[in-house]
Amino acid sequence: MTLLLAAMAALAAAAVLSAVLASRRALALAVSAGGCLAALALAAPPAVQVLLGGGTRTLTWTNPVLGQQALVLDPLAAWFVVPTLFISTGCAVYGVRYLLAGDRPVGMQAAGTNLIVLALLTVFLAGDAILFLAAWELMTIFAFLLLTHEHDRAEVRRAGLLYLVLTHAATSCLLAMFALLSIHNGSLRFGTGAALSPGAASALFTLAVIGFGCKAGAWPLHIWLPAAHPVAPSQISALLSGLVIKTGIYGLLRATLLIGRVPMTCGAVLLGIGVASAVLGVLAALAQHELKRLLAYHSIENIGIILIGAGLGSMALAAGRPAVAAIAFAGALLHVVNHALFKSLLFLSAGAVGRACRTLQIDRLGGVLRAMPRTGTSFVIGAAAICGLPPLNGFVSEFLVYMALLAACAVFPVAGQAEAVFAFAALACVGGLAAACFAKASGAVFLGAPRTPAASDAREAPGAMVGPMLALAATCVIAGLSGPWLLRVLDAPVQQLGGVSLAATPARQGLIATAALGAALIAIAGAIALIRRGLLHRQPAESSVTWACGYAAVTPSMQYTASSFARPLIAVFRGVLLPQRRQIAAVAPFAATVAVEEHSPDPVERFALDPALRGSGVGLALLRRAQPTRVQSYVLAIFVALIALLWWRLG
Amino acid sequence: MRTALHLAILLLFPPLLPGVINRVKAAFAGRRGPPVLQLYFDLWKLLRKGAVYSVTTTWIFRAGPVVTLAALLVAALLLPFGGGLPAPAAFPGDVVLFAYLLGAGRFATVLAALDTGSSFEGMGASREVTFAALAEPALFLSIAGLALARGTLSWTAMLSGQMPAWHLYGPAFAMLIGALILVALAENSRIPFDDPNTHLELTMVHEVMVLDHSGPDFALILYGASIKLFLLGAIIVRLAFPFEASIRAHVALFLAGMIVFAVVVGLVESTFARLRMNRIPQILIAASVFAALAMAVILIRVNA
Repeated sequence: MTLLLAAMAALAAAAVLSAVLASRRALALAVSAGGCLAALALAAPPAVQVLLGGGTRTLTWTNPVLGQQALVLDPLAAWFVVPTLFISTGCAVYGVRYLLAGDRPVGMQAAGTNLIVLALLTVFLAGDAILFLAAWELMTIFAFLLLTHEHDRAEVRRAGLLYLVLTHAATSCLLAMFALLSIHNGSLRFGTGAALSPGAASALFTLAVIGFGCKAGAWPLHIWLPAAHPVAPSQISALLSGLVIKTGIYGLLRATLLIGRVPMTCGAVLLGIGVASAVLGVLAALAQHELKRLLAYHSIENIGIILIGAGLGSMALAAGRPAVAAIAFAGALLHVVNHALFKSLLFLSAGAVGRACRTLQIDRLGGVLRAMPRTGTSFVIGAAAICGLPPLNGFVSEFLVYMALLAACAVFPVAGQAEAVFAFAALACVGGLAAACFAKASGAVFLGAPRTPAASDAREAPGAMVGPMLALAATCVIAGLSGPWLLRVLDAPVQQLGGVSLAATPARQGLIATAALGAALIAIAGAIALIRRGLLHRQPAESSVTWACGYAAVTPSMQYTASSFARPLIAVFRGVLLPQRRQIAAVAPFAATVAVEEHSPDPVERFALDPALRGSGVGLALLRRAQPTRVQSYVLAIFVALIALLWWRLG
Repeated sequence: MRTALHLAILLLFPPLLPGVINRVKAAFAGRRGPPVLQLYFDLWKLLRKGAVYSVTTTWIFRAGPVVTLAALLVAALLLPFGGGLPAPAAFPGDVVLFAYLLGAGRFATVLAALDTGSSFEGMGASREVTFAALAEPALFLSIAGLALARGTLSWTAMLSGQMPAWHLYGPAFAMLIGALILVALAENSRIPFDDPNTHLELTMVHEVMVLDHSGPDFALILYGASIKLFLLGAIIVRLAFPFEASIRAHVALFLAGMIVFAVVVGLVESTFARLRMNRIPQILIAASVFAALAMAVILIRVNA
């Protein structure tokens, strides 16, 4: 615990120092990155120890007003602390060169990065409701400040406000949940398993799902996420998507521990929300034209996969099947870390492309892999990982979720069986759609020929930006091949959630075998590559232009665009995506302008958020009309209120 | 020994299947057709040729065929070729790894196609990912149905000794076979989903994605395609011919079953027309519905 406190102190000190040094941009950012690095070095060993050895470390103190408070490092918290430290360091290092390339003041970013990591650690370690909510609030505010870096742009301000308003609205549910829980427990300290009636447990769980689901970006409360991620600086997008939305998952898992026995229907609803988020998230991603917005929708998809695991775990516990619950929770927990790894990798490489090409409109890019080989390779590895392709890390966690669903089919009551089968098929479809979407994104951005001069002028990002990307890409590969080791580190948090050791389930053989076969895949591919090289060694390889079926005057603009690539799937799912098409058709034989544009605005935004905002705007305007304009009337109102209060209490 | 036999069948037998299919199609058209071993000759020739690479391509294009073939070979290690020939690697959940390895191979092929920057190859890649995404639920529902009916999560246990299961779940298994045949035809770009013999790039799906590959790379692609056909066929054959016998008789039976599968594919290609592109999603969704119905039947049986 001392090391953890030292890490937190290092973060705080780095924040103060970088704020003081704000005018010396490079130094401030370096101090901030150094603070994150120091926190990683100090806090990772105790967290890994807790994961490997189980057990819990606690630091308690008595607050004169609120009573006993505590920082608790239990396996569940440690599972979230380790990726937080690792990824925030990568983002901070990347941020140095990324922010220096711009000309805005960086003090806020430098200090804010340290402070948000500090707030994240406190959220995970908080041992009582007040500390948790305070850290939660700070995290929200720092995230807002970090993502509105370019606040002179109206869309950035709009996205920031949307985030702030929605997450605060959701936090009110959390206040209610913790208040009810502390009334029941008689204490604000986090305990385990309050013996609640099923009705009370359902009510608390619903509040937790709304409150934490909004932060996590679960459908239909996801609406802030695709607005906020594209406008933030890329390392902040990575931090938001990799870590901040995971606090929602952490909160949800912590809440299930606090509530104790969650009824089966609650788990089923969570599973349903997971399926909806996964399917609708990936479909919306497919229809996007901007790379970071596409990635933001994939975060919703992956949160959906995590929620499928978490919901299934709760269902299995309620059905008395702890072995299934263990596999499901293991899948959810592992996907939390895996998604943090490859999504931050993807955002960082997207940011590098955006810096080099000055645009992230997918159809204006192309062929960037040639100019930016290391960035492009990192992105392709991240893309394969997020599609869940073996031998990378995304496959391992999705494999566990699939396996839990299949196991649930065999042992659940009928309704649960049907839902598990449905989720299984939906997850398969999500896998195929994600592969389509990332084939589109990586193909149109990195492969082929550059579509615009901006794309052909791209230069590789500096080493300080490429380094974190390569480190994350390597971690994705290594994590995909380290099944037996994952079995060990996952065991303690899974036992805390599910009550059964993961090694006692069929997932044990699965994890070991997938790692071995992943290694076999790499070995066989290597062998085939060697044979191929040997065969081509004898014959010189020739260069030519791409075969265009005999047509000689090919230009890069004739390439298949990302929009056309996704078009058949969008046509199949048009009933869900509701695409809007604007077309200027050719009227005369030699028409001057022919154009077609297709956008798929988020249905939740179109049909729920916008009408609600408009409605509340009208209501507030009415209220404003009723508002007195003179100061005297305010004084009168205060006076009357005071008299009324005195009369009520004393009279 | 058995592993060696498994590997020998896996590595040597698949290129025979396209030859059989082509002979059946030729017979229907009243031609003599190419030799049954034509693909072996083609592979041998291509392996000794040089290669031409487009100037827009990168390492992705060169890695595509290699990764695809490797993924298919690893997937093949998970599939049993009969009761006497269990898979060299079997573990609970290998069904999921199998499906995702096919996906990994497809992803590599699609990226290699996009790397050429050709609009035709982009078009083919777009169609391929569309059909694959829609075929995925049918494949996974079939897997879930088999898993539930047999109470196992591994191919080897799922595809052996299912005579008693046929008695219990016969109608469901018949529907699963229907769904799996549709998936196999779609995944292998056969009629009615795609015409491997078409000469018009605009109408191609799989063939157009590999237009730019040549020499050994193209040999890897053709070989991989025959293995993919073999793998999906092997699942159907094992499911449709659930007989057990001595190992020698068994291998003969399995290989004969694979030839029958190839003849059936040839018959389908000779008697069906290719579907319009916008019809294909409907057929694939129909395959999912088949598999879902089978799943419902199995669920009712299991809970009865």
